[in-house]
Amino acid sequence: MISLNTSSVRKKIDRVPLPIWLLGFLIITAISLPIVYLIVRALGAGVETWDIIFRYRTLITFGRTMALVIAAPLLSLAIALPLAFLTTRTDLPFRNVWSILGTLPLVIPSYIYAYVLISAFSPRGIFHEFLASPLGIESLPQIYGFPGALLSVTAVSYPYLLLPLQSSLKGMDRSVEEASRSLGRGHITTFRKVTLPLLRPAIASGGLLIGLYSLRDFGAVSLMRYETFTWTIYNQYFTPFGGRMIAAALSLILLIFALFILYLESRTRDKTRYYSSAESNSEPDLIELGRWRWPALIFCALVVIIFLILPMVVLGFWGLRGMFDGVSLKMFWDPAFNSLQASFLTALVVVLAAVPIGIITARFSGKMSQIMEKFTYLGFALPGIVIALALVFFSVGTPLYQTMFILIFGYMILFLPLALGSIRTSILQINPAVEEASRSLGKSPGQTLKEVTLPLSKNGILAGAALVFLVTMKELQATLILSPRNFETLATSIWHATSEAFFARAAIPALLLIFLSSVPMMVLLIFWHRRGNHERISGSL
Amino acid sequence: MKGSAVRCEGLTKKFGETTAVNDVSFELKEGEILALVGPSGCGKTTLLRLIAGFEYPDKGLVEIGEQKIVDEGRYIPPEKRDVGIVFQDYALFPHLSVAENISYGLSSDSIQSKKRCAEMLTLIDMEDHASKMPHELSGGEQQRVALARAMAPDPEILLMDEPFSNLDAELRMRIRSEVKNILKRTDASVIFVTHDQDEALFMGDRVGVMKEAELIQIEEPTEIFHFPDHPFVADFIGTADFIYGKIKDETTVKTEIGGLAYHGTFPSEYTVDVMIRPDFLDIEPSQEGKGKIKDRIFKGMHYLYEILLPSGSKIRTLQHHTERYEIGTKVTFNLNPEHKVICFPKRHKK
Repeated sequence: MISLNTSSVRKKIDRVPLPIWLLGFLIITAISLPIVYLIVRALGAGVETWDIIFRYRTLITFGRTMALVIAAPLLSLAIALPLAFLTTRTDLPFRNVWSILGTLPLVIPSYIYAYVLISAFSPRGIFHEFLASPLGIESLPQIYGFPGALLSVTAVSYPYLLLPLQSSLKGMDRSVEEASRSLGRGHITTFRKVTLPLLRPAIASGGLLIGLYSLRDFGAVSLMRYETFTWTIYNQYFTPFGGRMIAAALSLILLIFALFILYLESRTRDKTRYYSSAESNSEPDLIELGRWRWPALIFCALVVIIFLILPMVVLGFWGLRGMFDGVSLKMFWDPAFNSLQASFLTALVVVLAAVPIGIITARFSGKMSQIMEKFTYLGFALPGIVIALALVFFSVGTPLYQTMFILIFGYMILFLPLALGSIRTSILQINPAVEEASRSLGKSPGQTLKEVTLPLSKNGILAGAALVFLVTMKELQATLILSPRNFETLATSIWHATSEAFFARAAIPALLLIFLSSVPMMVLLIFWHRRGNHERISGSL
Repeated sequence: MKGSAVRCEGLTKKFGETTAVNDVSFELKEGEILALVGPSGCGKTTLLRLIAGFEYPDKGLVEIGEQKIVDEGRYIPPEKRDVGIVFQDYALFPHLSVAENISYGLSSDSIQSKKRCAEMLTLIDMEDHASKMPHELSGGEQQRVALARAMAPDPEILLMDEPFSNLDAELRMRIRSEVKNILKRTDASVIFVTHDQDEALFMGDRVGVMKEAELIQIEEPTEIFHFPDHPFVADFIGTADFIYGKIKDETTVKTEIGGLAYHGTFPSEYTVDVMIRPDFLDIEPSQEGKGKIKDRIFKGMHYLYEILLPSGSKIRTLQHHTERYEIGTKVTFNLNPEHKVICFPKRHKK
């Protein structure tokens, strides 16, 4: 077939090559089966399930979850908006340094921050030992529960608001604000009536992502003993006599809740394009802070101290104490090896699965392609605990139960959307005419794929693999439920040690985990920052 | 005699090492349109931003109406200046409707502001579009809304920064006469910045030409076209070539294409650059001709010939499309006696 009208057509009407189609179909089926199974089982129990859903305790859980889902984005906004404004629009000294330090908490998993808070402020923590006891203070403010959960979740997720806010503030056409000034409105009115409304899409999108993060978070809420859906589901799962039934029903609610937030987020995305101006030529002028410089610096310093320096100091303290108490690095070789191995395998499997789907959704139109696109987007909303339960129900009683195979399969379902986003974008960036040129020069579709499409999307595929590697390293909830017996990863070691209050034993795996994941994460962040691709950073929850 | 709307004196602005605006002085009368024209980077937009208050000058004074806006130790922020601006990219507020955009600068007295907004919508002939959002409008409509928004608070002066440069050629011609109409009807005092000399000649009651941070001539359009002060102005406003000449007496200057009548007075034997516009000369093929056709460009109604002179200078001349000569033809020149040429003192090498 000769297609002359190439450049304007992104998708071909061609049939998807059969092998790719089959592969895609298999993967989608494999991913959806466990979830369908969970839904069928939960609903299959009939009246019982509805009783669980509508009982009083569920309402309490719902209320607690809601409180976190609403409060975390608000607290994040209170941190991220001033920080974003100061680092993009003012003559704050060392703006770039504050900006980078402000983004770094992204590499800390929520359970590590929770561990830091607990090991510092709980009755057996550092502050109690060194400050409160010698001074005769009996009780510190309670860290467990809502305050601790909120602070932990916010600490590691506020960058999801900071990044889009910074890029909106930087990219904003300065003449829009100047127009407001020339029409007689001062700095403050202009900010309120023009700048802030223009930031609305960034705030909505970033806020909803943080909401979704809070909803799905397990690590922080479990250590803080704050019973949201994820922690309740986990506890019910281990409760004999009907606990699993309740866990299944609650998972269903959690799933719907998550899909709803994702739906809201997709709607903000549709509107965004009306807000961004076609071409913004010059960056806005910097506001001179004058004597406000000191309060501004103190604010930035506080953010960095609380969310970055405090965790490092506390981890360092417990790490050293652990060394003196005889905790050796050797104890963590196995978990570190397990983490690396599982992450590596997952990255490999996910990329193998994501490439055919990426090609189908990027290059072909038609039902199959549309379904796959929607489906993988939905994957962003799936909480780890729900996937884990679905897989348990699916595999229990078979030889697959609690094997490496099931664990990696679970990871694949969770992280396929991440890799796919990266791979799909890089395929979309290839001009279809290049592929058509290859076809016209006598290469078959398969050869073209191998010699043109894949080499050209290499960077996207590598970035996707790196991303999956990193998030797998940090994964906690699915790992706790799905992993084979006695299979400890760094993440589960930290969680177990903290929940049993062996603070000194949690520090070394935590430091190892941060070290192993922060270096590649920095590389990815710089790669994205340069390309202004914040959507993918947002996707890396 | 009308009062002054804007007065600038010795206005200077440096960005680091580069001087963007150097010692610029001029006065804008009430109800007058001043078109500032110059190549990109000549400082015209910076001059506009100094008047608007988005830049702080290193030296100089700005008065709007009778009020000193910028002077030694005095700086009034943009929102207190009573200046309306139409931006190059319109800068409409994307989150506000057309009517809300226009009302943005009006006081919140809703009856007054509604009335004014309705007036402005009528003025730009967009009564039916009041509740539309900016992204639903065409480029020309956005342009008119931007104008209405800037004019709604009835500012002392209106600053327009390349307002038509984002429109395609055909639309630009139509919109600019519509806009000129509106400006003249409302008797607005306007500073209009453009890089397009046609647009400057069309829009301006006076045209100011800027080059390398300096305002080198400010004059009525016909004056600036016919009597440029500076070779750069001659070249930038219209097309011009320069040939070597020596003053013979009070009326004639000698050149390699013969004696030409000139404008002004110079001492005799003075060497000058003589400005030749393409419509000054007629050519005729001749074996004895001193000029030789080097290139011929078809312009529809006309041919533009590029002719090489013995000295190596080139001049361009416009001939009717019936006068078709081949490249390489030798030609003589018939001078149009109506035209007095302009002479500039010979440029000294730096």
